[in-house]
Amino acid sequence: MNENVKGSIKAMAVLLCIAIASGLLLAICNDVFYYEAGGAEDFNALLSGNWALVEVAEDFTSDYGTVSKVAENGTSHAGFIVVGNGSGKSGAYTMAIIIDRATNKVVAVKTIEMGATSSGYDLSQDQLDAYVGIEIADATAFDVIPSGALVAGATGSSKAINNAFKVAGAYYTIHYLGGSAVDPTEEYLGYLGQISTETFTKADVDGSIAVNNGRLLLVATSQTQVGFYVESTSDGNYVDNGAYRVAIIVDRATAQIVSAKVIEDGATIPGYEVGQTTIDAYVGQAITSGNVFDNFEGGLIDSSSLNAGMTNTGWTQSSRTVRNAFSIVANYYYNAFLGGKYLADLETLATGETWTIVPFAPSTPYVDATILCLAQSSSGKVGIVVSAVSDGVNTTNIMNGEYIVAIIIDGATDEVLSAKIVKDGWVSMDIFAVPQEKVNAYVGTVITSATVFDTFEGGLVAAEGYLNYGETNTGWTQSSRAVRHAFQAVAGCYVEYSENIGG
Amino acid sequence: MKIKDIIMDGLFRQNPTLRLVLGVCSTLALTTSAFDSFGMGVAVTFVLVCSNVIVSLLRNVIPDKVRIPAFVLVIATFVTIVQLFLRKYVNALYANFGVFLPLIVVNCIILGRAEGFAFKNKVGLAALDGLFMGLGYTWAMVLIGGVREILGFGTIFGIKLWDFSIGFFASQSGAFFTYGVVIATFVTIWNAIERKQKLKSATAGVKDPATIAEEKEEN
Repeated sequence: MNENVKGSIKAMAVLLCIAIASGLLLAICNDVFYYEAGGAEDFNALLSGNWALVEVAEDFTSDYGTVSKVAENGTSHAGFIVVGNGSGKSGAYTMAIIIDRATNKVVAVKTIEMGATSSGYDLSQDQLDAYVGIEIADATAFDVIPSGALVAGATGSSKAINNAFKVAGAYYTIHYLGGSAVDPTEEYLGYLGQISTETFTKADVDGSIAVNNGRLLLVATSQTQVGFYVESTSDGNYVDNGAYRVAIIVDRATAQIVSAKVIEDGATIPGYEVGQTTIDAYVGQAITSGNVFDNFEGGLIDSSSLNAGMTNTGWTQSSRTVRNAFSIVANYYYNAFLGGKYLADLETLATGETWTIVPFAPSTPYVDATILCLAQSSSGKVGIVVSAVSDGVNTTNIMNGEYIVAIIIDGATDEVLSAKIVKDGWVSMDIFAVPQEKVNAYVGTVITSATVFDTFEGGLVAAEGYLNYGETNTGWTQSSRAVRHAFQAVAGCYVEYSENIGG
Repeated sequence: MKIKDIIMDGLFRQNPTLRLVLGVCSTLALTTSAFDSFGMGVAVTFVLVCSNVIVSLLRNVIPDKVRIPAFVLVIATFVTIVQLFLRKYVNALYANFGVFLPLIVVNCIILGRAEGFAFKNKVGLAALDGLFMGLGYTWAMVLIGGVREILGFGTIFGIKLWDFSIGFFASQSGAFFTYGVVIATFVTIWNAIERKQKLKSATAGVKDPATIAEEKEEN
C-alpha cells in the first residue's frame, strides 16, 4: 500500500471518528435540550412554573380558530397554545396565552407564529400586552379588541390575534368556568327587543373608550336608535348587591334615553331591588356629556329606611349600581356616537373656543363616509369630524384604510377655516400619505352646496411615477380621493345642518 | 505569542468585525437590536472557544488535506448545540436569528481562527484566542446594534428611551451606513492610538511591539 492510499485512509478514518464523536455529542444534547413547539417551554418562557400539558377537548374548534394545546401550572394558571384564524390580509396567528385561574385574568401572552405577511404588520409585545389584565367572565370577554392591540395598518393581524383570544376565552369559559361558549348576541338582542320595536344589529365596540364600574355586553344600532346591554358593578363600600344587567335604548336624533329595563337584578337582600319606576327616572334624559349621570340623583333610592344597605351617601348601593349602568352608556354614547372623543381635535384646530356637541343624524346615510362628530363653537364655528375610506371609484386595489378628517367651518360665511387629518389611512407605504398642504388646499372654499367638492382637484395627489402602484383610472391616489370624499360628506352634512338645525 | 497580544488582537488590533471585516452577513442582519447583537456575539464566542479547543487538541491528528472538512464538522457540531440550546431556553433569540444561526458554521471568523490560529497553537492559547476574538466580535456587534436600536427604535435593550426614531437605521441600508461609520470611527481612533504609541516608543528609543513583530516577519 503506497503512502498516498495510507494517507487517504487515515484522513477518512479521522473524519469518520470526528463525525461519530459529533453524532454522539449531538444525540446527548438533543435529549438534554429537547424542545417541542407549544410545549411547557413556551409557557415557562412566559411564566416560570411547573407546567404540564393536559388533554385538549377534541371538539374544540370554532369560527375563530383552534385550541391546539392546553397546559396547567398546578392549579394556579392555565396556558393555551391557540391558532387564531386569519383576517383580512393576515394569515393565522399562533399565540401562547396564560390565564390566572384565581382571577380569571390574562397574565401573559406571546406570539408563537405570526400570520402577518411581513413583520411590519405584526404586533409588538407592548401591543400584545394590552390583553394582560382582561378578565374572562364569559365567552364575550374578547368581543372588543383592546385599543392598544388594535393597530392601524395592521388591523388584519390585530383581528387574527383577537381571534386567538376569542377561542382561548371560549375554551376557558367552558372548561374552567363551567359556562357556555354559545354566542349570547341573540339573547342580548332579545333584551333590547323587550323595550324597543326597532330591529338592532350588533355593532363593533370601540375599545379605546374607557368603561368604569362594569362592562358593555352589547352595543347594537338601528336606523334611529342605539341599544346597549350593560353590566354594572358598585362604585363604593358596604356593597350588599351583585352586578346589575340593564338594557338601555338611546334615540339617535335627540341623544335621549327612550327606554330602559333591568334584566338581571343584582340585589341580594329582599327590598333592595331596583324597580321599573326607579329606572324610568332616566327615561327622557339627554346625553349631553359623558358624565351626565355621574351626579344624577333622580334614579337613586334613599337608604334611610333600608338600614342594612345604607351607605354613607344616603343612597342604596343597588340603585347606585344601576346608575353606573347609565353612566357607562352616557360615556360611551357621548364619545362613540356623538363624537365626544374628537372634541380635542376640534380644539386644536380652533383654539380658545368652547365646543358643544350637536346630535346630528343625516336624513340619508352618506355612501362610504360617516359623520363622527358635529359641534358648534361659542363663536359660531361649526366643527365636523368625518370618516371616509374611499369615494367608491375603482376600489379593487385600494391601498388605504380609514381616513378621519376634522374640519372647521365659519358658520357665518360657510367658509372652510381649517382642516387636519386625525387618522391617516395609508397602510403600507407612507408615499401614499396625504400631506397637510393638500388638506390645506380645501381651506378657503365656501360651502355653497353639498356638491361643492365633487370636482375639486386642488387637494388630490397625482398617481404618477413611483406612485403608480395604487394608481386609479382617474390618475389620483385613492388616499387623496378618500380625503376629498371626507370633504364631500362634510359639505353635505353642513348644508343639511345649516338648513335644518344650525340655520 | 504573548497572552497580552492575543487579548489585544481579539479585542482591537485584529477585531474580526471592525478590522478584518469578517462575518459581515450576520453583522448587518442581526444588529437591529442590542439584545440580538449580544446574543449572536455570545453564540459565536461559544462556538469559537469550543471549536478552537477541539481543533487545537486534534491538530496533530487531523491530516492536512482534510483539515477544512474536519473544521467544518467540529464547528457544525457546536453550532447545532447552540441551536438546540437557544430553541429550548431563549426562544425569542432563536426566532430572531433565523437562518443566521446555522450560518455560523460558515462564519469566516470561526473558520479563519481554526485554520489560522488553533491548528497551529496549543490548547490554552487557542481557547484564549477564541474567547477574545469572540468578545471582540461581541462588543462590536453590541455597539452597532445599540446605535441602530437607539436611532431606529428609540430603545436600548428593549427599554424605551424616547418616542423619537429614524426608520432608516432599522433598515438594511441603515445597517450598512452604521457599520461603515462605526468602522471609520474605530479605525481613526485606533490608528491615532497606535501613532501615539509609536511616537512614544521612538522618543524613548524603544521599538514598539508592532514594529518588532514586523521586523521579525521580514527576517
